[in-house]
Amino acid sequence: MTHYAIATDLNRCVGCLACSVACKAMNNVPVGDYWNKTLRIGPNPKKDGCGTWPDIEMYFMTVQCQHCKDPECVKVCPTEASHIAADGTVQIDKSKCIGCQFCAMSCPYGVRYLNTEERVVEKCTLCEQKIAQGELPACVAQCGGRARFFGDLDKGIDSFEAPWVVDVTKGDPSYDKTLHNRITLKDCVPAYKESDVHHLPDVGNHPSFVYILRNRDWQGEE
Amino acid sequence: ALAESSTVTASKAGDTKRVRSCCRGCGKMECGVWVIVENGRAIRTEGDESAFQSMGNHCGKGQASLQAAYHPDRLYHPMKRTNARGEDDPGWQRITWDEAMSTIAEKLQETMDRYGGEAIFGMSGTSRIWGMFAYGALGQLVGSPNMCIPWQVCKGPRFFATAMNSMMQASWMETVGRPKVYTSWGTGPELSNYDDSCRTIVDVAEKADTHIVVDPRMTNLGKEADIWLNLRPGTDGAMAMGWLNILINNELYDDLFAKKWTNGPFLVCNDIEATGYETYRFTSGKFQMKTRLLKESDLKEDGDPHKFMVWDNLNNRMTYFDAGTGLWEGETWSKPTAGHEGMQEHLVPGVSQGWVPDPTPFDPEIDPALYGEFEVELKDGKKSKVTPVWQLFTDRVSEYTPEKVSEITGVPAETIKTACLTHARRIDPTTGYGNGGIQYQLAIEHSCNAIAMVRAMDTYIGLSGNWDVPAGHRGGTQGDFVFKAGLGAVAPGIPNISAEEFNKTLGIEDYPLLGWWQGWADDASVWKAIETGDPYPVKAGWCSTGDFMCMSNSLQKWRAFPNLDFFVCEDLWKTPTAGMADILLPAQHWLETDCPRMSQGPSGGQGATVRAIEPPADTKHDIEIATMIYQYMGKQWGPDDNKWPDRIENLDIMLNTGRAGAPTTWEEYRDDFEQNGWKDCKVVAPDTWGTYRRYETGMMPLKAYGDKNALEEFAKPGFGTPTRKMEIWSTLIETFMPEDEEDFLPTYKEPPLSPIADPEMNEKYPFTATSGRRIPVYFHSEHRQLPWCREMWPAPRIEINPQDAARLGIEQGDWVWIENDNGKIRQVADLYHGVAPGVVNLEHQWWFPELDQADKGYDLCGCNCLVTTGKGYQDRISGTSYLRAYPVNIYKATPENSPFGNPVPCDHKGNEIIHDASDPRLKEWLPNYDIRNEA
Amino acid sequence: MELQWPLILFTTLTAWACGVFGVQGVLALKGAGKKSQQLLAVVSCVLLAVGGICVFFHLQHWERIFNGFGHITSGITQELIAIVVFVVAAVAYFVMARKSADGGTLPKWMAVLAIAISVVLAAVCAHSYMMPARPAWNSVLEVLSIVGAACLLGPATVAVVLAAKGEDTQALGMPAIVGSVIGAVCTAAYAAYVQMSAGSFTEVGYYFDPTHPTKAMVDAGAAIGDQALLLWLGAVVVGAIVPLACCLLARKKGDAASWRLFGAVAVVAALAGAICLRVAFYGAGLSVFMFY
Ligand SMILES: Nc1nc2c(c(=O)[nH]1)N[C@H]1C(S)=C(S)[C@@H](COP(=O)(O)OP(=O)(O)OC[C@H]3O[C@@H](n4cnc5c(=O)[nH]c(N)nc54)[C@H](O)[C@@H]3O)O[C@H]1N2
Ligand SMILES: Nc1nc2c(c(=O)[nH]1)N[C@H]1C(S)=C(S)[C@@H](COP(=O)(O)OP(=O)(O)OC[C@H]3O[C@@H](n4cnc5c(=O)[nH]c(N)nc54)[C@H](O)[C@@H]3O)O[C@H]1N2
Ligand code: SF4
Ligand code: SF4
Ligand code: SF4
Ligand code: SF4
Ligand code: SF4
Ligand SMILES: [Mo]
Repeated sequence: MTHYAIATDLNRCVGCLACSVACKAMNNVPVGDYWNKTLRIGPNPKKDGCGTWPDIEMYFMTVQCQHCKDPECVKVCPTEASHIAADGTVQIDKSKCIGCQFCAMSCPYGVRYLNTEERVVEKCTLCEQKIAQGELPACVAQCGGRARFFGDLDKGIDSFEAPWVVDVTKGDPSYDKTLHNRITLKDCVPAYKESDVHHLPDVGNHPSFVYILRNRDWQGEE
Repeated sequence: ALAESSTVTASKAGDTKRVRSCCRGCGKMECGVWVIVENGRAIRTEGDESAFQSMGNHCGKGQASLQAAYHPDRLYHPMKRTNARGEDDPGWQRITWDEAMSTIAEKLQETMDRYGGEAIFGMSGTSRIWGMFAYGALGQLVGSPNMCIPWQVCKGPRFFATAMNSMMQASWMETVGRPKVYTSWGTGPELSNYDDSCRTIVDVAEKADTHIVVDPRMTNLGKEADIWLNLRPGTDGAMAMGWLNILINNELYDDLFAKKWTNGPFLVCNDIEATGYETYRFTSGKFQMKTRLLKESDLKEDGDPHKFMVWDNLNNRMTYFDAGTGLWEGETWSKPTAGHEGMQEHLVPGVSQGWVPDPTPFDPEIDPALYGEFEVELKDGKKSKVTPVWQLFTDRVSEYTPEKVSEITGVPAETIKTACLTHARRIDPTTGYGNGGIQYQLAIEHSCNAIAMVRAMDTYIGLSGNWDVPAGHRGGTQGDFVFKAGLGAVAPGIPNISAEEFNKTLGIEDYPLLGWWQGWADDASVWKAIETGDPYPVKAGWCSTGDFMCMSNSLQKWRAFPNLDFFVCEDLWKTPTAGMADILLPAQHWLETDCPRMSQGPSGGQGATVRAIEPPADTKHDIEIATMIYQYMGKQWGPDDNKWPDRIENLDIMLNTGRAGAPTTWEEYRDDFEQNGWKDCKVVAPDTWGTYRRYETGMMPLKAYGDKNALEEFAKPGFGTPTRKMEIWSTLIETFMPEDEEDFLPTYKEPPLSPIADPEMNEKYPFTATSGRRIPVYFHSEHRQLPWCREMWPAPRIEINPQDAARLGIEQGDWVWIENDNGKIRQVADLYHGVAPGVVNLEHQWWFPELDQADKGYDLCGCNCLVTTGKGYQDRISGTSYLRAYPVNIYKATPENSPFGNPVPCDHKGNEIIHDASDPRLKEWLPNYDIRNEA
Repeated sequence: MELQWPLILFTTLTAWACGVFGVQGVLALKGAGKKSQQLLAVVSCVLLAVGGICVFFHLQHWERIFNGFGHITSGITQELIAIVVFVVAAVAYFVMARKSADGGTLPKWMAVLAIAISVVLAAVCAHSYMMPARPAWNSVLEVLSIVGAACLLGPATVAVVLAAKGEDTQALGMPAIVGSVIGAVCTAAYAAYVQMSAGSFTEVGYYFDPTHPTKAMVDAGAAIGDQALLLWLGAVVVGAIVPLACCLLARKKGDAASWRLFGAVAVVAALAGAICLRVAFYGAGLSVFMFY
């Protein structure tokens, strides 16, 4: 089985919004709607600090569809428009969608919305058109901090991949070469502990996306 | 559609074409990108993973900038005004290029005839590479030095100060060389990509042993810092002095460097007249340097003023350094050959190590004294006590103990010590150089102490072993041709204006060194002249890629604007500046542009921006516009055999200026780039870029030799200063500002309106406002009309500490009034624990393309409406505007205290600005592909 | 989240229809209200139909319903099934009533079926909203609150119809009071639950969503607290206590005119209360992670 997902290293994420724009540029997301938002969490006073500046901590967190393992959005969909695809991603067959928006209500993270032009519900597709070709999702490929990694959860997040610099001195740095040159999460980011790995709050949907956050309090439940 | 005849050798897939190019969504980085073109239409841009200098980075605004090319509101034709300046509706009327150019030529000529060329001023923004007409070429055209360019507030002060201290641009650190200790000082490159990409910075900070941040705010990357020096805004100069103190007191400085390469051992003599020799101004002409540093000519009647005396502790006698030859007494010099490769870890594929010559010892062996006091007999027979510069310098520095610096900056003394010691103690002494430079950037320039701070910092960098070494400070990239600061900036075939003409520079009375630097006119002084006619009238102006809101006070300028007889604006949009223009000229977008590119900073890439789509309608490339007006005015632009080269011929000229190796053409250059990607300048320019410690090899490229080829003229060891040494004692300040003795040595002064300098003002306006912190989807005033940008950041934000907010009843999302004696504006509250209570962070250059009025609401939100100008309120040496660390008051905007009863800023009729991504006006800005074809 | 008017109306009207149909089943069991049985069956169907029309304003592509609308785990599918069963039952009910000698007698099993399908439909409709993503909704009390609304609306409506038809309202007294009490208890219980749910949202302290600079930070406690007036004054006092009081008064007086008057007031109050409840329902309907 395959279960594609994205892992984000929040210590590398600098809230640059490149991923949010990349998604727009790739997926024709309507103006005013978002498949990928970059939230700033904090700065909040540190637990053991003086209660205010400068004893504070902060991180950025990009939020999009978490391609859950047990997605309520699929369960509530009357038409099976929302479904789990063979690669483990959660997709919407727009031609089946009646726009009842129950899926939007049932998503714990509010990442679905009604596209008022097509009158169907939309969300992050994990760039299915790209990953089907062996390419990286746009928000991973263009991530400013090289903080995002894409891969198959079943193989473990250490195997997840980000793009990597092609050596021009080795000749002919073609588009195709640049498209497929990768670095794994393990080789790219500093070591992390089991306890540094987080998910968005789980209310039974089992979100698949992974967030790594070292030496900081993860805000909110898992 | 992209012409089929195009020889671009981009890879093709179906009717999709991928053009390798260099992004110009900002003016700061040269990110390698791919432009994806489908049926002649650019549909997307992506980072080029083979661009080692940017590591495949392509930021949000870069990706979104494609929406500008197809924007319905873009300027597609030349226009002229039909209503009076100052009216809300300029009554734009489409005209031909011929009418536009004839009118401009006529008006400029009229102004020159009546008032002289200096009555014409120019404006150009920052680093829009090919559109920087006012950086030189406009002056050359009309004979005016009065160029208002944000260089004055943006790395110009660092270049100015380093040019005085060591080498122009030495402020730039080679971040891609991967420092062991990454220190980010008053900068946030993760958002600014200044002049290193976000990707590089994040990786560098993470891989470094220690990550230090010097910033009054918690920054996006600074959240990861190991050490945070959270200083009070505007006190960086004191911090830099403190670092020097710690470096010297802990004897961590490079003694040989101090003795051999700084003017530390030179002797200050208070009993002599300041004398010297003739040397070069930065751009044009010469001047007589005058110093009280002891020279042979002060000791002997026929002594040489170039010979600076030092006391040799080894042989207990006087000896000298000859600034004329660049050699010590008895020294013979040849290019050093001993050295080794750089020893940097984590270099990215494509970045080479370069070659580091070993420091050379004194030969013949001497030991110039740094400390003490010596008695000399002057040529008139009088005895005099002389003191090494170093002694005076360390006396000054010793005042800045960590405790004193802590008092000034508010950072605990222990933290300051830890930070400096971490940076200064060499982690790997076998490399022979320091842990890396300090990325000190924009923020330190904006609180009136820029030049002094940079001089302190550059000196620290030299003494800590980080000057022109791997990951150290080494200035702008040198490639295999001379980039000339970008096309359009200088007419390549004719000389620059003369020193006499430069001496008319407005502001030179208040800031005399502008006459040496010749880089800019003082912006505030030019606008004062426009307003008052004093000291002489300024009557016409040309703005290319520029904007009036960037520095000084925006409100003052807007009021002065109608005094101009004539004003031209060359841009892509109807900006607020355009709102005061008589003629608008439509420029081209980077996707429509060809131009070689070279990393401005030290990231070492050489590549190109390559035309990926055909330009629309009546638009022209800035370089064509520049050449065109020269032709209309009958002035030569290019060389004698091609006075008015076309767009491509201009590129050929550029590529072959100062070229190492066989001549090339733009076509060859471009095809090679498409095929092979970015070039590592360490490889293509081994002597000027591939070699470090160029003061040892005679390859210091950025000497002040004006129009001459610096390397040919120089070719000697040392630095590009009048004494060829790193000038801890500035002979330039001594010459041009002799009464300002404090500044001969690095020093610190409080920002003029700081709570300490002006407590009264701070009682009235109890918050310290700073600004900066780049908005990731905007480039200053640019991109506000791009849907992908505006929907990510719809409205300007003021960061307020939540404690202050609570006290003032301000909640997240409230509109807040911000005011001082100069004016008042509104921004939206962002409750941010990352600023100290009592400090607020503001956003600059906001305007609202959605408003249907000439001023586009420039006065509603932009914080530069609050800037104080005038002598005493600008940097005392460079005139740099006071954009950060000044007092304001803030309070909640309510229906009662807001025009139209609406806390949301509105246009003159009461229509709100866009402040929410759901605003339907955003959709009207989506690409319109039809407009392009109609011309 | 934003108010979904079509759904608010649909849910309210469905509860109403269920109330009416259920109560007429109760009457049928008692052998009462015979003259009104046919009319009531029509009324409940009409209410449901109007509710159904409302829902179409919510569905963006109802025409696609026919392309495949059978995903059984979906609340909407379950609702549809329940509605179909309800309508079939109601039609059968009507036909049987009409075919009966007096035009208003029904077999016991039909009466029980009417009650059962009414409870089921109200419960199923309400159950669609029970989702872990929305803590304020995710409780059987939410289901009971809709059943409760049916209990409030049904007896009062039926009483008005009976009174209008000049029938004996005696048999209704007790069911009306019991219904009102159940309704009041359910509504109050759910209101209390909503208030308690304030603690179930994710908290991240300070945060910022750059795309909404002019929005306040969401504060689940405040959002829930803001519903207190709607819940307690609107849904409980107006929507349940007032109808209960009306029923008590009407029963005390016992005459048709009183039932006509107080019943009508009770219907209007219960309706207002039900709508308040649904409005508060959306007001409190934040997702667990409410920062997007
Ligand atoms: N308070 C405060 N003020 C600041 C700063 C701060 O930190 N705080 N920062 C300062 C700094 S560092 C700088 S550099 C200045 C920047 O100031 P400017 O460089 O003046 O910046 P912009 O306002 O972006 O103006 C540039 C104009 O050029 C136009 N343009 C863009 N590309 C092209 C092109 O290819 N051709 C032509 N013809 N026009 C083009 C744009 O549309 C825009 O109108 O602002 C300064 N102002
Ligand atoms: N997205 C985007 N990128 C840009 C630009 C843009 O407009 N948008 N502009 C470009 C230009 S022209 C420039 S010059 C660069 C500038 O880019 P940077 O050098 O990165 O400068 P800023 O982002 O202005 O400010 C950096 C930091 O200065 C801090 N600061 C404020 N006051 C002080 C102070 O008194 N002392 C110290 N030590 N720090 C202080 C702020 O908190 C902020 O974190 O960005 C460039 N890049
Ligand atoms: S994040 Fe929301 S929309 Fe995405 S799969 Fe999970 S529940 Fe469904
Ligand atoms: S809106 Fe579309 S995808 Fe969502 S539940 Fe309804 S039919 Fe399914
Ligand atoms: S994976 Fe693709 S669709 Fe999803 S957020 Fe990223 S760019 Fe958007
Ligand atoms: S692009 Fe990467 S670094 Fe930037 S905000 Fe998105 S995840 Fe964070
Ligand atoms: S940093 Fe500048 S050059 Fe690089 S991608 Fe962004 S806009 Fe383009
Ligand atoms: Mo700048």
